[in-house]
Amino acid sequence: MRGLNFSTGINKPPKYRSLAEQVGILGQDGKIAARYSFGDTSSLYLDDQAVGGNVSADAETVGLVLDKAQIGGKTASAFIAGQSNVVTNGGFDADSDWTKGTGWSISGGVATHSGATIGNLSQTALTVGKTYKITMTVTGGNVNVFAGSGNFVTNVTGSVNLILEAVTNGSIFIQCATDGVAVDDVSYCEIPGLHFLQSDTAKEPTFKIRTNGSATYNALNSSGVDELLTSTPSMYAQGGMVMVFGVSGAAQSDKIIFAESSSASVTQLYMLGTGITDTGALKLFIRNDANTTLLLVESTVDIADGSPHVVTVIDTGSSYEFRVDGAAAGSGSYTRSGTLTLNVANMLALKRTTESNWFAGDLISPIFADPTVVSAAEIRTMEAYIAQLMGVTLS
Amino acid sequence: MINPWHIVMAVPVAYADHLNRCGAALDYGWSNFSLPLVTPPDLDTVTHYACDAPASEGFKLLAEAAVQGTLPAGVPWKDYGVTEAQAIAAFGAMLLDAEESGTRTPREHFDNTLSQWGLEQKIQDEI
Repeated sequence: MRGLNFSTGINKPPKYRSLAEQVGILGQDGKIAARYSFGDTSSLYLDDQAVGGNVSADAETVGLVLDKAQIGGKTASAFIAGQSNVVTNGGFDADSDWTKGTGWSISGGVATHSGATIGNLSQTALTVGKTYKITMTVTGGNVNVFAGSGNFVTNVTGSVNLILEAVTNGSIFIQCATDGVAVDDVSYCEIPGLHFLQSDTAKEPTFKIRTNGSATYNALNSSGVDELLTSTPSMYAQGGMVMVFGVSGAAQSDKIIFAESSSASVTQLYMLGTGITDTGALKLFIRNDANTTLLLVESTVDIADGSPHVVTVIDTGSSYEFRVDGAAAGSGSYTRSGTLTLNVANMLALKRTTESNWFAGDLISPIFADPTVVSAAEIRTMEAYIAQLMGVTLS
Repeated sequence: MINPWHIVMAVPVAYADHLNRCGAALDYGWSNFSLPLVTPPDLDTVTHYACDAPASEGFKLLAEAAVQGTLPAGVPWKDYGVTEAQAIAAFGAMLLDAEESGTRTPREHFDNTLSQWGLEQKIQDEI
């Protein structure tokens, strides 16, 4: 009898991969736009951005949700620490690369501020809309640290450890009005992927450990009062999206689970949330800059009825399909027209000129993907992964 | 439990900017008080801004003391655009209710507390 030939792979026995591994492989292949696996708490999301600790305990608030598809199996801390630094001459080894405002000088391997007149030490190095992990050492007093002109943290000192999204003009500013303050080892490391942030403590959702029968899973909970996570939009612009997520909440009218919007206008919107006609249904709503509704549909099966459900939305840009717990829940076609000028991605509520439409309930491990690069079988794998977490049986 | 309390806070519009600056000085972010409230029967004019949050024992004690006029020491209020006197006034105007987590849902605690204060969340515009 001939022996099996494992070296050629022809008779290679199939390698067993868990659902989590299969979903992870999709991410490693670059096929998943973003995956927020709350089942892996110790490595996935950090609490208050200025604190920078991992969330692990029930009822802890969540200020940053990292994209599991991007972190490649590392812990959140190791992942962030491993990103490349975009700052040139952050160690101040030479008197170059920085624009020195009032009072600033570079000498002896540090930047020093002299006098009590406020001045900026600056360098343009950031990409607007990207999120950065910022570290530096400050001695002799405090500085204000900026990522662009409008996003900043004031009065930091010692071993500085911050996470900020870069805004207008993408410049680094280190601002000081104190004599004798020295700064060294400045680094801004981009955190790639669609990471969701909340820098106001009261608006942070809460980490919850839930059970459904014998299944114990981790959820992001919103009370529906003021919780909101935001990021940079990308789904509508890429031509469509696949979103697979677990959800548990009561019926509620017109609340946001995921949306892309404009902070300057209430008009344009790409929204996934609860219905109005049927407040337990899933609603997909698209409206362009010219206030033309491109699509307004609700699912035929409820997602908000107090029980956990696995929800799938496939929007190809010309058609949509809903599935609830693996079963068909509506489909159809539509036409995109006009422009949607979007600058905010939203989870759990809606940020436009004001904040509104807060969802109350649990969100479990949402996965976003580009519908043009994932197969039907891969979408089923995502559904099975979330169903297994939540103890939900798929049809 | 890390956050054994659930707190509801509201502040009159006139003090909201100063109280948000106080929040930033305490490292809680810049716009926690942004949820508009009205005082019935006028349902159009925003009179207060509110927020709710899970809270640690330490935060609860800090907030209750601040409402009574005792601010935490060593906070550089003026660096955040508010004087200590303005911080005392803003905290003094703040409405605060704390209850043990799990007593009611956060939403029920929020709505019932607003009702006790004679306030309502302003009805938002339709999407």
